[in-house]
Amino acid sequence: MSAAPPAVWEFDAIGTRWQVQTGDLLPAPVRADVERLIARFDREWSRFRTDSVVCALERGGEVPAPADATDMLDLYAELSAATGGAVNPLVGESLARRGYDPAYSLRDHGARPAPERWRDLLTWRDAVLALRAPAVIDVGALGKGRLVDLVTDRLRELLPDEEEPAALVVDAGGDIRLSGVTERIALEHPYDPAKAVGVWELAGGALCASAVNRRAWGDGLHHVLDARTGEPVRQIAATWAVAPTAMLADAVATALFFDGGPELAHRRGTPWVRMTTAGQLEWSPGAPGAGVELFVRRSSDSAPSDSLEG
Amino acid sequence: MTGDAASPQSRQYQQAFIGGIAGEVVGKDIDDLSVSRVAGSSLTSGGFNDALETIKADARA
Repeated sequence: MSAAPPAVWEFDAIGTRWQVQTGDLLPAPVRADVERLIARFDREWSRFRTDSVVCALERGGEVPAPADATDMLDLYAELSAATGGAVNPLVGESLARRGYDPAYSLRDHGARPAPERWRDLLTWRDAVLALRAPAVIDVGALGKGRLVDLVTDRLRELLPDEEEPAALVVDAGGDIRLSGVTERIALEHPYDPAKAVGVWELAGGALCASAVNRRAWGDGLHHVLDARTGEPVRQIAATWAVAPTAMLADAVATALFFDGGPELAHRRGTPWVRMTTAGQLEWSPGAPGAGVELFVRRSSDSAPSDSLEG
Repeated sequence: MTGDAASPQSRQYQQAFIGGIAGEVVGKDIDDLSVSRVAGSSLTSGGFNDALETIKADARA
């Protein structure tokens, strides 16, 4: 490893702070290429801008499917099935009614469930994305992870080809993907941002976090809703998941707010940690062997059989 | 399965996927840790922060 400090490129995009860390400063054309990629994704999937593809679909209809539609919506189908419908890509209107709308009104107009039979309404096949009734697509459960993967893949194409994978960290406000570098990442305490509940040491792949403390407003409202009720989740305060891709880590981090999340993580071989709103920390059977150190007093280890470890 | 998470069988089934539970988190100051970055809820930027300030100001008014 070179002794030179890494080059860091910081910018705001899709409503969060990004940090891209590389061995050498990224040339301007490379940065411009990444900015175009992010702008393209945002124009397709952001429900916060009126000129996006998902906004054009709000009244129903069909459009040529954006490039990421199949990968993202296939995984949404898996998330939805695993959580009994708690995760749903048509949750956009439910979020907007709680105040998380394109104008950030943060004004609550009450709980509304997302369309339960969303698989009948939304289809993505033969390169067509179709919506059979008015609804608002929101890919918040995994979209940011997907974009972190797209940026990572593009930079790996554009960076100089060497024997070793070039050191690269793409961090979208806490959804992080690494290659060619080992990082020690603090797991932020959801109720005290100066503290960590643990540290995860990762030599590659992705760590995605989700928590209810920052995108929060009004009377206990925040951005993680149970799509079946339109109510914010109350049991879990923060989740962290590690996977080969940021899209999968992001998806599992979302699923972990609900029953069925741990089973999905097991099936996908994804180690995780989560913290309940009562202050308990839970972790997967595979987490201790996957580089995580947790700052807990072991009062009651449930420690079920290790044989289930994926 | 989600709807009957409270039933003992369902509880037990789901707990099979949980490796451990600790009742007490002993957080450490991030400044005292040797870490290169922090993972928590996504940092918010621009529009959301401004909106939050606005409703706080409205509440005070």
